[in-house]
Amino acid sequence: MRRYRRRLDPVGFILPALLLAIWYLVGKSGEIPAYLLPGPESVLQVMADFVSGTAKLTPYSGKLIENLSASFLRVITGFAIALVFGLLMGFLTGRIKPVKRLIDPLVQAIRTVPGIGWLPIAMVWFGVGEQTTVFLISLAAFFPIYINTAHGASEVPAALIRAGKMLGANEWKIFTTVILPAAFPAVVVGLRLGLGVAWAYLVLGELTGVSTGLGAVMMDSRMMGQVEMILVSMVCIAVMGILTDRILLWSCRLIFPLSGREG
Amino acid sequence: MHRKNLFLMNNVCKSFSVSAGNKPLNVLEDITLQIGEGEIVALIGPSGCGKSTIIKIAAGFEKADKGSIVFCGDAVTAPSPQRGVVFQSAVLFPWLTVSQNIAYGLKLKRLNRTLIDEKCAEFISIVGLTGFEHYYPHQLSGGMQQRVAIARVLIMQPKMLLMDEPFASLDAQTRILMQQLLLSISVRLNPAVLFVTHDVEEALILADRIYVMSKLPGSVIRKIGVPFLKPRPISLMGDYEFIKLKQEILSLLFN
Repeated sequence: MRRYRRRLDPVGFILPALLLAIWYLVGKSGEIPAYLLPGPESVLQVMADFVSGTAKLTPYSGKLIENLSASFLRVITGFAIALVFGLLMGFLTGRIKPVKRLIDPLVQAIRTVPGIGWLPIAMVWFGVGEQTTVFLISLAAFFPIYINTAHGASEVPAALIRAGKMLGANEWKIFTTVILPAAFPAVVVGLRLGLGVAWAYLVLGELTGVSTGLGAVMMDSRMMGQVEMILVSMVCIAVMGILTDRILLWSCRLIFPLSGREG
Repeated sequence: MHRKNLFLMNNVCKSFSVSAGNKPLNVLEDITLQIGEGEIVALIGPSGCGKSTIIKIAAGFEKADKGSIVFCGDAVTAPSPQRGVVFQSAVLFPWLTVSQNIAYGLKLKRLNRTLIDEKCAEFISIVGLTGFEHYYPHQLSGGMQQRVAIARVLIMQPKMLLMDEPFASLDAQTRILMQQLLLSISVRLNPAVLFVTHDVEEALILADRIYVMSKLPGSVIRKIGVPFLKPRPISLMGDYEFIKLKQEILSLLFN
């Protein structure tokens, strides 16, 4: 069996280190004024203050947890809604032809409207803030989950299903012991794409005006000229995006070992 | 030797519609076969003569257009672990290990854990895969995968094995080893076997009886009893009677 945790590849750190060095040198040289691009050391200070709240450098001093958890909760809520509908409809369309014929054309038509295009109508329906954000997240995350699940479910080899039946599996057992695990790699791809999209639409939703959350911090900081804080929020979102993706992947591997299929 | 009938296929016909509007393609025409308990029967014929379709119908994966299929006195309507199928490729569950693949059918029956483990170990040793319990299918050679496929149906103690060119995708040496394995299994567990092959020597080494089939639409053109006593060593292939029978079947196939 393959080890899940691979060693970090040092080559991957070369470009980030180089960028950081250039950033630092540009800041030192004064070519770009700090109100456009503050140096990495001041961003780092603001970041530390955002976490600990000791230096009171910005209005957000010490408010990391508050904003982070607000954003995280929205992402998880939206993602969970997308996951339930995406998996349910994905498996139904993937396995049952009449359902596919009924549902799929509509879903594909709706999909052609980009997620951002839903923002105005969402604001009309749900007002500015919380619900609009969660709505946008779940809508945007739904499509990759649905499409990949449906594709994975429809591509399960007929021979595997026959093998299961010949060994005594009934329809329900065929679903749980053959279709589900066989489609699982595709489902995981859909979930990871969906989670990535969820973070993207979180920012979009929060930019429109919520009181807490990383997107709100970014937007307010822009108005107050706190460029460091914008950059810090971006870093937070990147870190959260990676972290939640890792957790998702790790929990998926607990359900079925994906590594068993890597050829 | 007279054996009790286990499996009967009476006057089975099957056709497929190739495309809308076209005349359906007759694949099987009036196929009648019978297999006794513990008997090994080979179906041999040119490729595309509907041999695999017979296996699919016998397994219960597909329905015949006409005719009846009876197994243990009952009409065949659906697949059953009593008729274990070994496909041309192993068709293992890639997300399960060797022992999990083999235990799959017993787990469905909700037998207790220790019993499953014991049985699993027994059948892993019968097919000679002890030590490979925790390997995944993609880590095994084609021959080893096919051993797993055989073990996972044998563990269900089927009355009959249906094998669709089970060794065709293996190299010549592995194929001979697998044939010998099948012979030793048939002595030990005594399931009836219906297997499809296009290899005349394989049919003569393994089978008690051989059904020779024609080109499309497939029908049985000759039934041949194989007279050689078991166990049949590989050296039998040089025997005068063996070669004579082989010639006879080949001339039927290429007629």
